[in-house]
Amino acid sequence: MDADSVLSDAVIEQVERIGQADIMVGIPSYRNAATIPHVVKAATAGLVQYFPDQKPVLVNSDGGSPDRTRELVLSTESPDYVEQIILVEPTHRLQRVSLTYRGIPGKGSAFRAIFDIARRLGVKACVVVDSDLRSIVPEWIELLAGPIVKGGFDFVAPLYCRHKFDGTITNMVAYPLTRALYGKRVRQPIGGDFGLSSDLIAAYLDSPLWDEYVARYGIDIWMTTLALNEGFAVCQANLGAKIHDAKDPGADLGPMFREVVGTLFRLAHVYQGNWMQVRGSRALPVYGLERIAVPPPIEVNVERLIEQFRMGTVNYLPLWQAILPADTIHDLGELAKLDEGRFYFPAELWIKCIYDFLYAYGTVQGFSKEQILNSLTPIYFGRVASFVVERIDSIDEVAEQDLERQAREFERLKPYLVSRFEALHRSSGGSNSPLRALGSDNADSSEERASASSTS
Amino acid sequence: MSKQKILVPLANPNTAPDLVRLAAGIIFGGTGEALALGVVEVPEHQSLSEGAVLARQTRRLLQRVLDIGLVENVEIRTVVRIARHAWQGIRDEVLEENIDLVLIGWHGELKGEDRIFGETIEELLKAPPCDIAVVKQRGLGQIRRILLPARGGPHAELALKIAISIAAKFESAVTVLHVDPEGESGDNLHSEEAFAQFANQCQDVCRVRLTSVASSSVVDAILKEAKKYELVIMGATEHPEICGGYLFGQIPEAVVAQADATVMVVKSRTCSHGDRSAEGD
Repeated sequence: MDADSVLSDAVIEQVERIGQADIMVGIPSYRNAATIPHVVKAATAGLVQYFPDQKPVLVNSDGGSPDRTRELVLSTESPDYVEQIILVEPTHRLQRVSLTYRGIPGKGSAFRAIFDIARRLGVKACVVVDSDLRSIVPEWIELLAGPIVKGGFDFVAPLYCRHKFDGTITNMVAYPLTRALYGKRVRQPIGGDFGLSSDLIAAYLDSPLWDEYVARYGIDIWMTTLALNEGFAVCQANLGAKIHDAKDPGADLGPMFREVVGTLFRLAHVYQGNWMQVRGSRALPVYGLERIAVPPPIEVNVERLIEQFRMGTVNYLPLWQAILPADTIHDLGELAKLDEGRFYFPAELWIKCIYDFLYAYGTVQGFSKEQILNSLTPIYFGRVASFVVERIDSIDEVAEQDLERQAREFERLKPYLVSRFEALHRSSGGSNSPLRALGSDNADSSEERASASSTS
Repeated sequence: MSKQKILVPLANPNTAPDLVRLAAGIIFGGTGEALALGVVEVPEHQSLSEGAVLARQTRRLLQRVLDIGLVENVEIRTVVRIARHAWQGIRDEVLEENIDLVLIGWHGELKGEDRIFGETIEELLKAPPCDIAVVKQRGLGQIRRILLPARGGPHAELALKIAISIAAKFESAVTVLHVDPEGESGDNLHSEEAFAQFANQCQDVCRVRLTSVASSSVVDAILKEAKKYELVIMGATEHPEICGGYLFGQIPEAVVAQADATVMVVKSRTCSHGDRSAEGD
């Protein structure tokens, strides 16, 4: 048995028995018995309806669910209408694999197992979809795999209609920061549902940039960022509404925030040479028609978010003083004095905090990566609280316009981030990158950058 | 004022960045956009739908081109076309998008004894659907000095326009070179007056210097002067096809083939035989 493999010998044997496949749907899961049958039904129907001549395989990569998740993946049939209506028999029978991956528990490890199987089977296109989806329909498989199989793209990111308060990590950080850094408008860079080419999967598997955050929720932004920076062709697909097990940002999203933002920051240092000169941003090609949908509302506990922000201004002050300018700390302190009705956290203040933390992630010594991210989390809660207070009565479209304005602000203020890096270059005589100044827990980053560049 | 549209057919990742930089230069100062085109050639015996798989490399190349556009601050769109021949794909795109100028790189392979351009450029120039600029790329670092050999002629105006625009973008100095063939009693006085007038017009956007040399060989004189420049831009001869089947004329083609610098040679559609209005849609 290969000690580094995320697959057990038994799974490898099963995959070898299948031998080869053309198209794959991969579903990561953990305790999703309630929702995964619908995802499997939609995926199997999509494979039959849209790719009847391709040899299909469905892979479920599970984190050791104690419920019936894996059993349901193997036993859930395609919807009845497929047999009753579609008269053309698919050329190949659908193969199914359900496995418990090995390694660090998390979505990234689950994906790594899916990618490993995809490469072993030589699939041309792989679609990954979340296991908590309620709105997935068979067409999603075509929308995510079509640009790979028929259009020559490598990476298909989703476009959804989401409730204005769903996807706060996406809206506040992942989308606007990715757009400002790399100049590409990937609206849902951590959407969870993607289409991937075989070349891109190989690049992921061979990348030296895997780490603990990537093994967990950092995987989505890692995949998107690598696709953008390693020369792959990227587009988006209109999937309609995303209805899933949405989370209250203040209650559920702390660890996810750290893993996503930590990965974003680390890769920003790795790919510094790619983004320093980029100004503005470009739209990406979009596949599929835009759909009008009304996603269900998300409840957000604003009081708790503001309380966590206030606690942050006390608990993390020493760390903030090492990262943020004095006037920013002052502004944050003034915000903490506001009551809920008047709570307003301006976009510009938020963006400067993000840029200062991004810079600090590679340069500030004496604090661990986790401490830096923990201290940013209450600031994120404050910004989310402000957005919710401001947009509580707005329709989703108005909230979306707000987020677009914020994204443009990220671009407008990017010179501030660039100037901080340039100042560091100058102070180190121009020969050292900020990576040289990393603390001990980041000491591997310069090697990472060298390795990452060699793969481009 | 209508937007200037430049089509940049791209196939080589190594030379694409310089072509996009030149396109950014040509657009500079006005309203315009570059359309980066990748043509996937599918042989006659294959179905055109098979081009989708072949398109992956082209898409990746164009994705990188978008990055260059962000750095050079130029509006770029990307298009992938499937065609039996690259020139067909380019011509179709020109007609569909109402392109003003095709900026195309020449890889440098010689074709036959007398002709230096390949099938794609030759076919395009048979009946130019728009203005054409062919670039023999020899690497472009900073474009500090641009040489503009000029003797008037119908394509010179386009060459001047492009040189000024590129110079304005990259803050380059332009030298207008006039070569007097020795022994010819020419219109020196008239030329100098015209140059002086031109230089005055350009001073607001870039630095222009006029120089005139006498030589028994125009080509040798240009090649000698070109050694000091990063970029040479020149117009085609008025009726190149009359003498020896040249596409741009004997002198421009000799300079393209022999210069050490990057050379751009341009041909204006309005002065060529091709007429877009005479073509079908």
